[in-house]
Amino acid sequence: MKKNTILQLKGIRKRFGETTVLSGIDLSIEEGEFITLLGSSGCGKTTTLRIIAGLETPDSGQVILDGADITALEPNKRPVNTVFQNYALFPYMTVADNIGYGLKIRKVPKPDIAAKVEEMLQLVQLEGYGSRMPGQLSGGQRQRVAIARAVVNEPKVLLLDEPLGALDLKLRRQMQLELKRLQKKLGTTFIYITHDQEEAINMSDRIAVMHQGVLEQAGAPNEVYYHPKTSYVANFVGSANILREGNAAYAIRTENVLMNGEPECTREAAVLEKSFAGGQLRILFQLRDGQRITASRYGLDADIREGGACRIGWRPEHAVEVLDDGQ
Amino acid sequence: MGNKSSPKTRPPWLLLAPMYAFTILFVALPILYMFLLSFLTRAEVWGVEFQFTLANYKRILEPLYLDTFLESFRLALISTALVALIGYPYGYFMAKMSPAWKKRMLLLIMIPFWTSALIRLYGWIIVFRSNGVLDSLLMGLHITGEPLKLLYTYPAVVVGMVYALLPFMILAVYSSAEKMDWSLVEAARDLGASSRLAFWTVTFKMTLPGLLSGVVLTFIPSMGLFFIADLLGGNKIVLVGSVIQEQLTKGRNQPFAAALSAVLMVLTVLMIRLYRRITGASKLEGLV
Repeated sequence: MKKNTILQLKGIRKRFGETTVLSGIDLSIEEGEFITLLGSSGCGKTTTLRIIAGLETPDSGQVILDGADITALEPNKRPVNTVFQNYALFPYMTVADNIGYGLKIRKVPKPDIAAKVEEMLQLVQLEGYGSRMPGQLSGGQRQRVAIARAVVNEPKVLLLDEPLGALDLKLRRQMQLELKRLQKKLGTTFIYITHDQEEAINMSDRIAVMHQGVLEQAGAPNEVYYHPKTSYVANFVGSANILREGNAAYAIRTENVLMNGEPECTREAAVLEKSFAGGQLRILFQLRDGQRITASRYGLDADIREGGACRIGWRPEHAVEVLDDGQ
Repeated sequence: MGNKSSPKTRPPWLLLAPMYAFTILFVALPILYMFLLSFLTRAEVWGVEFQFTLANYKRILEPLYLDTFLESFRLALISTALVALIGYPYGYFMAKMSPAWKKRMLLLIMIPFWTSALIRLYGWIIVFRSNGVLDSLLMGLHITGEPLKLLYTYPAVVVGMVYALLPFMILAVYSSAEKMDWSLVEAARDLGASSRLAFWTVTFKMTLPGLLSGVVLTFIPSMGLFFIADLLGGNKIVLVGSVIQEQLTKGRNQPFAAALSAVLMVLTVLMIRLYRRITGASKLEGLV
């Protein structure tokens, strides 16, 4: 099934003074898609989001929404809404007034606003909280209000700027599921920003990995995970080993490193370190040429001892050739 | 909770005691003394007699004094309004400037405080007097043909008041605009507000506590700044402050001066409360 393209970024460039933040971003986003811009801080993902929202103007390039060029359009005239990182709820307004703000500005009749707000409170499971002030809510509840305040305007694209960043791990996991469910229910296109690769993999239909103002790779989570195009992507998404041989670089996922006498185990390696973290055994090897390889396993391998030696290897299809960008 | 008995914990009132002592000694007692004084009788030659009377308050109702009160309120209202109109944008834009410019603008406000207020007022006299600095400038530029005779007029007094009170407004607005979270404005824009609407529904609301405290800081002193009216207004504009001062010194009528002060104080408090009720200030305070 071919879906419509809802948003297109064409050659977006942006500099702040001497620093180049975005050097030519091209990206097409389909209607109803949950796409995540993934990258470490300073990679340009937030600037990209702000350019889509209209809070920042690109130096060159175009933003095309639903066929129309909106590059120069003011933020209030774009059918796009944002869930801000720090929620940015109006502290002097009740929860209901916060959610109804966008509708009030569009001069929707009062009874309709009230009904819509009530519907939104239900959607984000905050029934009965309408008359509270944002200051009286927990972090997770504020998050839901921020989402409701954006979603109520029925945007064509919803932008979410690290919306779960301030929440603790347990709440984060729960909110990830809720957001995903909400997105399916509404069918709205979500552009989500995070630096957490696990979060990106859990939630997204597609992941766009950004690095130093460049979009390195965009694809489905398993594609990005198993077929990284660059060494940076391989390292950032699921931390793969990068093995350099001659002019080529290969990404080998830690779980694919063999070490139990399989026929592929052809390389001599010294066992440098053995650690147990997060339910996973991690073993750091050093090859003869000095390159280091990490292997990971669930469960314990008795034979391998720190300071010992071992033969390791991998199946040829597990060594994915990547573009080496030095990471 | 459990370590209440530990020897290092002092009772909390001990820590607060100096503050209470100071407030009682220098604020509560003088006010109480003033109110008591206002019900006593003036002695024949010097001081007061301990004889209860309401005559001092009755005297305030005389048209002469009622007019003085009205005049004082009018001048305070005009000055405060002008101070707010000039001070709010100044403080607001200062908060949006780069740190280096903020420092420079702050310095501009602070410099006048290094000189006595009285001396600065004499400066205004030089500016305003016939053929003074302002007249020479305007006539030199051929904007006016003859001296404006601005000194000892109402506008001169208003300028003096605004000049003296402006820094308080600027600093009050600046401190609340400085703390403001600008992502709220972005949120408003994102939700469909034009930049003008975003200003009125977000920025103005968030900086209103600063504007309100600026108004209080301006209005209260402007009720008492009689020396500005005396110096720049001659004897044409008589304010409550001047009458109080006159009654204390030349008139040697301490009880009447106390009664005038008491009424001035009560009226000012009432004005501020009314104003806070109208603007809904209490709802906004403590949020920013």
